[in-house]
Amino acid sequence: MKKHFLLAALAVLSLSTVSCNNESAAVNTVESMKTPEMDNFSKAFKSLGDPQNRPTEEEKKRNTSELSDRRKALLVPASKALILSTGVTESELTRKTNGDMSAIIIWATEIYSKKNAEIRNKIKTEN
Amino acid sequence: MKKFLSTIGICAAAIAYAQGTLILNNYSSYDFNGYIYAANPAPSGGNCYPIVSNGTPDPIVVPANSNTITGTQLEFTNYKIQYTNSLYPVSTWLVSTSATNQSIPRPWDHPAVTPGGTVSNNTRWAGSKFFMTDPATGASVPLFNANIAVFGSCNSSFIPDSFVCPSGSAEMFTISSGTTVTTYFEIY
Repeated sequence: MKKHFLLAALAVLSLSTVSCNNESAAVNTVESMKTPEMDNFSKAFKSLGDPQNRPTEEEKKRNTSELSDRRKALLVPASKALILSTGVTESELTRKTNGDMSAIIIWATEIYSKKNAEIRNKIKTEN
Repeated sequence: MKKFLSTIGICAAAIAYAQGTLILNNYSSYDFNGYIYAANPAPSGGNCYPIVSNGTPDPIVVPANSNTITGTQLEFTNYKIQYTNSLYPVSTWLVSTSATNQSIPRPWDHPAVTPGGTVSNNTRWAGSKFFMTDPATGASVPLFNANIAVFGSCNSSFIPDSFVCPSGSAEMFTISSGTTVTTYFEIY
C-alpha cells in the first residue's frame, strides 16, 4: 500500500515536471531570444521618449521631419554595437557610413529587422 | 541630351520618393487603434495625391507594449511585402489619385500598389489618426487620441508631428540617409 502511494506521488511529480518543462519551452519569445545588442538598440529608441530626450522647443521649430542630431546621437552607440556584433569591423563601419549618424542608424535598423524576422521564423517552425 | 537629362530627372525623383519603411512602436500600456496613410511627400498646390491608407483592417490594432523591444512592432516595408512579413498585415489599401478618383480598394498584391510602381514611388508614410484603448475593458483612454502627421507631409500645416496628453504621448519623425527614408511612429 505504502509502495502504491509512493509510486502515485512519483507519477504526479514526474507529470508536473514534464508540464513545467513544456511551459518553459512555450515562453521562447522573440524578446527572450534577442541578442543583447538587439535589446540595447530597441531600448535606445524607447529612451527617445524619456523627458530629457524629448524634442526641445528649439528642435520643435526646425522645419524638418528629420530626427534632430542631438536625439540621433542617443541612438548611435547601440546602433554601432549592433552592427559590430554581426562581425563587421570598425574600419568597415567607418568606410561604409563615413561616420554619418543616419547611415549608421539605418544600417542597424536593417540588421535588427532581419534578425527579428529570423527569430520569429525560428519560433514559428519550433512550435 | 535634353531627353537624357529629363530621364535622369524622372529616375532621380522616383528614387527620392521611394516609399521607405514605416516602423510603429507602441511602448504604452494601451492598444493602438488607428488608420495610417501615406501621401505625396512633395505636395503641390495643396494637392496630396496619391494618398494611400489602410482599408482592411480599419482600424489597424497594435496591442499594448508592441514594439521592437518585444519584437512585435508594426513594420511596413512597402504596400505589398507587408502582407507576408508584417505582424499587422493590411490586405486592402484605399488608393486616391485625384479629387475625382477616391478610395479605390486595392488588394496588397494589386499592380497599382506594387513596389516601384507610380503610386509607391510617389508616396511616403505621412500620418495617422488614432485612439488608444484599455486592453482590459476596450474602453477609449480619455484624451489619448490624435491626428498626427510627418512634418512637411501634405497635412502638416495643420496637423502637428507630436502629441502629448496625461496618459501618454506620440511622435512621428524620419531618419534619412541618401535615398533611404525610414519613418518612425513612436507611442510612449
